[in-house]
Amino acid sequence: MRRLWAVIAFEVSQRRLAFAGALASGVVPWLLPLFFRSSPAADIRVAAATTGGVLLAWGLALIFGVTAVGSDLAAGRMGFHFAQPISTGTLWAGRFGAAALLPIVGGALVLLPTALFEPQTRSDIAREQVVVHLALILLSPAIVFLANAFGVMLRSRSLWTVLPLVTTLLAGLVCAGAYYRMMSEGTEPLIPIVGSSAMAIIVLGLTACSFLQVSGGRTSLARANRILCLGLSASVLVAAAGVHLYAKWAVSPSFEDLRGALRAGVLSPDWLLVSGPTRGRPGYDAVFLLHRDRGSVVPLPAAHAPYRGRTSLWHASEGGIISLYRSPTGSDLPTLWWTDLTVERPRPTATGIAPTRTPLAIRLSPSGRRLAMIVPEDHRVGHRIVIRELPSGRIITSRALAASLRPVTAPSWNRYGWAWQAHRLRFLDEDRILLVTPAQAGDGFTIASQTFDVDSQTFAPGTRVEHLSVRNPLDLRLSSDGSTVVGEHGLYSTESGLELQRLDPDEQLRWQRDPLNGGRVLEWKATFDGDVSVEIHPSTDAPRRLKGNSTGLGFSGELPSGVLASTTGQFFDWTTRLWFIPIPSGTPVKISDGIILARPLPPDGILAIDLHGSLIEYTTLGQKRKVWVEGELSLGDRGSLHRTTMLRRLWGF
Amino acid sequence: MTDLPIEARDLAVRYGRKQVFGNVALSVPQGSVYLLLGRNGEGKTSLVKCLLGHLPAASGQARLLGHDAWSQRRRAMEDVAYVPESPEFGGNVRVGEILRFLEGVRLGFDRTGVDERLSALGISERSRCGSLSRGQKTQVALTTALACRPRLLICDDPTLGLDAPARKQLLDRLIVELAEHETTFFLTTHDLATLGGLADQIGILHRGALGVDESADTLRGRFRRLTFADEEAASAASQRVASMEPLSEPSGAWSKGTIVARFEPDRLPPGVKASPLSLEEIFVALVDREGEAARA
Repeated sequence: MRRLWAVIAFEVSQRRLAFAGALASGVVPWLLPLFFRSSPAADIRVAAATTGGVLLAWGLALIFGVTAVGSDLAAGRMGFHFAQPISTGTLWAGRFGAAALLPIVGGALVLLPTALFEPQTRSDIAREQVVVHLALILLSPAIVFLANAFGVMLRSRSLWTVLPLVTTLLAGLVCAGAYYRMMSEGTEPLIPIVGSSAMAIIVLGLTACSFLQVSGGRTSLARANRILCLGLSASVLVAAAGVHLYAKWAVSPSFEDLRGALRAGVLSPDWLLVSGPTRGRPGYDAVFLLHRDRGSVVPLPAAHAPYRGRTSLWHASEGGIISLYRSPTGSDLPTLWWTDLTVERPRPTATGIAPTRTPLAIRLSPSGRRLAMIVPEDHRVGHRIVIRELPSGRIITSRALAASLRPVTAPSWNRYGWAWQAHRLRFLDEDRILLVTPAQAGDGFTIASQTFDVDSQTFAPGTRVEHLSVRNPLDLRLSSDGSTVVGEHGLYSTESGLELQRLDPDEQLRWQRDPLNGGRVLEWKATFDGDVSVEIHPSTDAPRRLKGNSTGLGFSGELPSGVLASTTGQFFDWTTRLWFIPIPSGTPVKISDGIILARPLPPDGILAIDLHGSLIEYTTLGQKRKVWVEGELSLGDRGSLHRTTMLRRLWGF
Repeated sequence: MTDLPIEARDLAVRYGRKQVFGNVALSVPQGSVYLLLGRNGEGKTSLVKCLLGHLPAASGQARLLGHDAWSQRRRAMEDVAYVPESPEFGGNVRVGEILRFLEGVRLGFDRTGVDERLSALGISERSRCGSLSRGQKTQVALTTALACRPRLLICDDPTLGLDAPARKQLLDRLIVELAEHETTFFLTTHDLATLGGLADQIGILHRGALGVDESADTLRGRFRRLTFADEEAASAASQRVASMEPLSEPSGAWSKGTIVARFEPDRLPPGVKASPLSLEEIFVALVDREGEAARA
């Protein structure tokens, strides 16, 4: 230890000027505001201290790295040190330890006075800025080892230097291939991890090389260079091989790798879409098609995950044809993908449809071979209905809508959701499409229906529901097929224009109303204290109160057997619950705590995900029919960070 | 192998494909002075570096004080000090920093008298090494090396660049050290005039091998320059001279005489005069035979 300190002290004494420079630099952030009075002094101080600290640390690391051993080797001074009874380990640790620590101390000397004494750094943003820059300063040792390698190589002027250049080029090609593969498969969340891991391998390799350089090279620059070149090349190749193998492994997760389900959807009576985190792939969610009867699995590229930024539009036809959005590699244009779920192993097929703007409505024909979309016109004034053939994407017809039928649009509370008051589309058959449009009309709203004939390319006007009043556009709730609409005063048929159900006018506590099949309305009521009750119209029963303090609720759907499925919960403590509400009794039955609702599952079940990520199929009696994925996620531990982020994304806060 | 200060067996050093020397075997007993000679480029410094564990041996083994020079370098260096050919410490390093460093890494570093000795040479603790002359740097290296109280001192051409008084001082210091502490010395030099007198044992690296490795007295005793009274005498003595391993043909250069490597005083023929040779003459005679032949 005594010898180690002697070596460190000797090295530090050689670089004492750096300390003086760092101390002097520490004052600079406090002096700069005197010269730049146009900006707030605190901002200048924080910016100068953070940037200056990092630059100084990295600059010193570069200089000290180049001179850690290389300059003494080149000048023949290492003989003096190796003639002393110092082990090569001590010599390496002392020299590189000093070279690595000094930049950190130097950078900290610039950064810390401002971090400690500038009041603005108590704000979260400034504190984060300081922490990030401190982390950057702590990267200085990596620069030291890198600079040492380059310093020795440049000084040696040896042909051996070509070796790491060639291997780096080779490794670059391998990494580029891995990058392309990961991007195209939608595993880009892993790329920063893979990249930093590869860099860590290289830095570790360089660190090991620097030790071998000292222990094996000793006083010979040529030998030290040879060891470094071999070591660096090996490190780079190992890192590239690691990246290649990891990329290959990362893009091919098995269904058993799922640590839990974060999202699941019912695409057809047979096929479920399941997505969730997998082992060893932090931040990346794998996507699978799961066949309910056979249990067979088809992996999909992660870019097809339904909740990803450009795959929010995700739609299934009655015949079991799905289409998804995804972002192709290297392009900002999302492409529509089509999958035939009637075959044994469905494979997504790119349709070539790349809408420049998100469609306002989309619907597949019963056969799944035609696609109807309402898209905004390029000049953003009018809208257009476009019918395309699938999977070729060929446009069959395209017609502009009347300007008077411009739909009401309003963002939902969930900005990631798909809850705009837009058109509803429904294929009456392969050639006729019902278009239901909520439109602004004076103080109220109008729901206009019309039928579009594909062959003749003509619109046949239908009925209108006039003078609908709602508190805000989001309270105007159309059923998914557009057949009914709930306003403030009642439920109306969009096909006949008739009132199906009269409702009390606006109530202070009303939360929302959802249209059910058969002309009934589900009405949710909630107090600001969190009490939630549910009432079905028409019904003679009094509203049923749900237990527990709930501020959030969601209607999942009506199961075919006459059971409603619903969730309630506190958004911020995750006490979400799943309820089944048998319509005849109207009495809610709590199925389980901690359930995030997925979607109704034909013929009479529901697909749910609990807070551990288990994907469970329930019957309407509240019994588990099948556990598809055993979840092992939990909130409150490190592994749940991703899940929390995911839930935030899903719930939009 | 024993705990001799220096012991080497079948030692070879290579630089890439080029072998500098091979099959070197030598042993240096405690308290002796070993003088390693050789022409420029014969590998004296390489041998020193190999003995110090700075260079790996291509084959064979070198041991210092019983420790393997390469793998047990640190332990060997506990009792070994080294004065390189051109001591370099770094231009900005102050002499005081070197002394403090050595105090830290050398448990037996004895600073007594070091400052006075350096002061006498015009060197202070605050002197930067970059401002010292080559001779001063050598003096600093030698002073600090001796302050380590080594059992073995290895000097690689220590008189290189020293002026005459400095060479004299160096010689005196070595003599004192030898007398007081029985330190073993391993020296390489071209300055036989200054250091030749100290040698107990002499080795000569020549043509990639240790051509000579014997005691200085033996070496001096077996080399003589024979001069002949006339050509007739040279001719008459040719048979006896031939048995003494002449380094050149007597008949070809009778007037200059010849140097023999196995002088036998009892067999000296009449008309032939034998005169002793200095170490330098012996060295030159041994390593410059081709040159002699060419000149003849």
